[in-house]
Amino acid sequence: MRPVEFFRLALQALRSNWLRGVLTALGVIIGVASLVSLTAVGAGARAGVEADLERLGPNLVILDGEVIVLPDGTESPSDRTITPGDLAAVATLPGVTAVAPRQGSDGLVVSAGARGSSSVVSGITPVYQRIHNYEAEQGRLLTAEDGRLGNQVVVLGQRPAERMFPGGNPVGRTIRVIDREFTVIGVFAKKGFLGDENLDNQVFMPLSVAKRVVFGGENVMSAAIQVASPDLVEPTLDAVDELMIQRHRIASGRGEDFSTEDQTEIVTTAQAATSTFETLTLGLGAIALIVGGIGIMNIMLVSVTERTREIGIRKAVGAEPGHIQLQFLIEALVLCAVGGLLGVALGVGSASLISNLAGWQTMIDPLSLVVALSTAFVVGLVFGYYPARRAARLPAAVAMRAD
Amino acid sequence: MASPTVIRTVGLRKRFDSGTVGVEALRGVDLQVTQGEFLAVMGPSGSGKTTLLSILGCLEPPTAGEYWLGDEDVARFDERKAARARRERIGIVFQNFNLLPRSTAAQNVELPLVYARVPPRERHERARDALAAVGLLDRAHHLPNQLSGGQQQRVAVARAIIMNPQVLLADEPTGNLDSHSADEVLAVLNEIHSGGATLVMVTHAREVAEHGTRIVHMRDGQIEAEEQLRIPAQGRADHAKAGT
Repeated sequence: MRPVEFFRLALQALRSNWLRGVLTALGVIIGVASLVSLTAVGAGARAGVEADLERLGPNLVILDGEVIVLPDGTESPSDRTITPGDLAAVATLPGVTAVAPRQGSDGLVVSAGARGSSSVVSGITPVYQRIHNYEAEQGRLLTAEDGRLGNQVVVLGQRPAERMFPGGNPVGRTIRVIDREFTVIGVFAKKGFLGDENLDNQVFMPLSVAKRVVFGGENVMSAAIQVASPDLVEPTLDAVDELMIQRHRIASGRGEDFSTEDQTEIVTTAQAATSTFETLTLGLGAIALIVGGIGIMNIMLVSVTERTREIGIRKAVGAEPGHIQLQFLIEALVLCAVGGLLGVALGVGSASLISNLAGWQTMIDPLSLVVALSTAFVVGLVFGYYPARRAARLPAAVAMRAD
Repeated sequence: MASPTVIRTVGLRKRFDSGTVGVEALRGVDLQVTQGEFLAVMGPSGSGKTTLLSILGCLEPPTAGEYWLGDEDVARFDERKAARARRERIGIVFQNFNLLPRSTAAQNVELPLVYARVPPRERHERARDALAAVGLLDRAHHLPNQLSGGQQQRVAVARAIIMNPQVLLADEPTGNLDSHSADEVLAVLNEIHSGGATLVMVTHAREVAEHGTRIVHMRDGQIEAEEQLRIPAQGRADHAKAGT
C-alpha cells in the first residue's frame, strides 16, 4: 500500500465522523494551546526581565548598609554604614568600572506651595544616573558641576512632578525639602516598578548637597557597583563581601552591617511569581496532553471495535497486519496533527488575548510551536500504537464473523 | 494429460476451543481440486463446509494437516504470507457480500489492488474492466446501499477476480439473495468458470450446487461422498488435446 493511501484513508475515516474526531482531539487541542500560550507568557516574562535589567542598568552589584544589632541588644540608629573609605576600596577591586553611592531617605515630604509628595529623596552622583540608565524627559539630569558647586537643585521623578506641578512644567520652579529650597532642573523619564518599588517616586539631588543640607554625615546608605561584564557579577559580589568584612572588622558569627545583592537577582525575584505560575501551567498543559492522548487511545480502541468488520474485509482481500496497524496509527497521528494545529492557533490566539486583557508581555517563540506540534505527534504515536496493534492482530476469520 | 492440481489438502483438521468445550469442525479432510474445476461443497449446517472454505481462503490456519495451494504448503504460512496469498492467489466471495459501506462499488473492487501497490490509474482501469465483466460498469460510483443484493454480490465477485486469482472461493454466494438475483450471480460465476477459472463454492442448495462440475458432500467435518457431474471445460479441452 502506498503511503499516500494511508493518509487518504485516515482523512476519509475522520471525515466520516468529524465531530467525534474534534471531540477526541480536544484534549490535544487544549494541551497544545496551553503549552503554546504559556510558553508565550514565559518568554514574554523572560524578555521582561531582560528589558528590566536594561532599564535598571545591567551588570550591577548593590552594596547596602544595614541597621545592625549592637552587643547590648539595641539596634544602631542608622543604616548609613558605608564609609567614603569603603567606596574608594571597592572602586579598586578588579572588574569594577564604576561606584555610585547613594544617600537617601524613604518617604520624605517634598512640597511646592500647598502641594506635596511623599517620595524617596536621594543624594547621588552623575555616575548613579548613568549606570542606572536614567534619562531626562524635561530639563536636564544632575552633573558633576552641580555637586562640585553645591547647587541646591533637584531632578524629579514622574510622580512627585505630577503631584506638585499637575499639568505644568516643573523645570525652573522651586520645591522644599525639609525647610530647604531646591530648584527643579529636570524630570527623568518614566522607569516603572522594580518589584513593588515605584522608581518614578524619587527626587534626586547632588550627593554633596544631600550630605551637607539634608542628611549630615559622611557615610552613605548604599552604593551601586558596576562591573565590566555579566560574568563578573558573581565574583565581584564575593570580593565586595570579603572586602567589607575585612574593613568593618566583622568577626565570624557577628551580624554584618551591610548586604550585597545582584541587581539581576532583584529583578529575577520580582519575576519569580510569573515563572512559578509558568511552571505550574506548563505542567497543566502537559497533563492535558496526556489526558488528551488517553482520550485518543480510548476512542481509537472504540473505533477498532466498531470497525472490526472493516478490518476483517480488508484482511480478507489481502491487507497485511502491518497495513492495518499503519492505517490506524496514521489515523491517530492525523487526529493529533489536526488537534495540534488547532491547538497552536488557539494558543497563539489566547496568548494575544492574555496580552490584551492581563497586560502581560507575551512572545511567541517559533521553537515552542515546533515543540508543541512534535509533542502532539508523539502523543499520537504513543497512544495510537496500542489500538493500532490490536487492530492489526485481529485474526481475519474472527474479524469477518463480527456483526 | 490430467489438469494440474490447484488445491490439495491432506488430513485437514480444525478444532475450535471455547472455554472448556472444544468443537472439532474438521476431522481430516482430504480434498483435491484441479485447474478449471467448479467444485461445489454441500452439507447441512455444522458440517464444516464454511470452516473448510475459511481455511482454503487462508482466513485461518488449520489445527493440523496440510493445505497445498499450487506447490506451497499454505498451512505453514505466517500472517503476512497468508495475507499475500489472499491478495494475489485467492479470491473470496461471502454470503453477506462484505463490501465496505462507505466506499463506492469501484473503490471496493479496487481494494486488493490498493494493498498490492498498483498505481491509481491502473487500478481504476482494472476496476472498470472487472465491473464490466460482472455487468455493473454503470454502477461504479454507487455506494453498496444504493445497490440491490444481487448487484452487491456481483461487485464482491468483481473484487474477488480483479487480481486474477488461482482459485475463486464462494461461501453461500446466493444465500442472502432472492432467486432472480441468485440467478444473476450464478450466471456471472458460470461465465468466470467457462473462462477457465477454478472455483470452489459452498452451498446447502442442490440446485445451486448443480452449477458445479463436481459436488462433495460433507457431514460432521468429513467428506462423506462426492459426485462428478461433468468434465470441466478446461479438463475437456485437455482431454481433447490428450486425444489428438
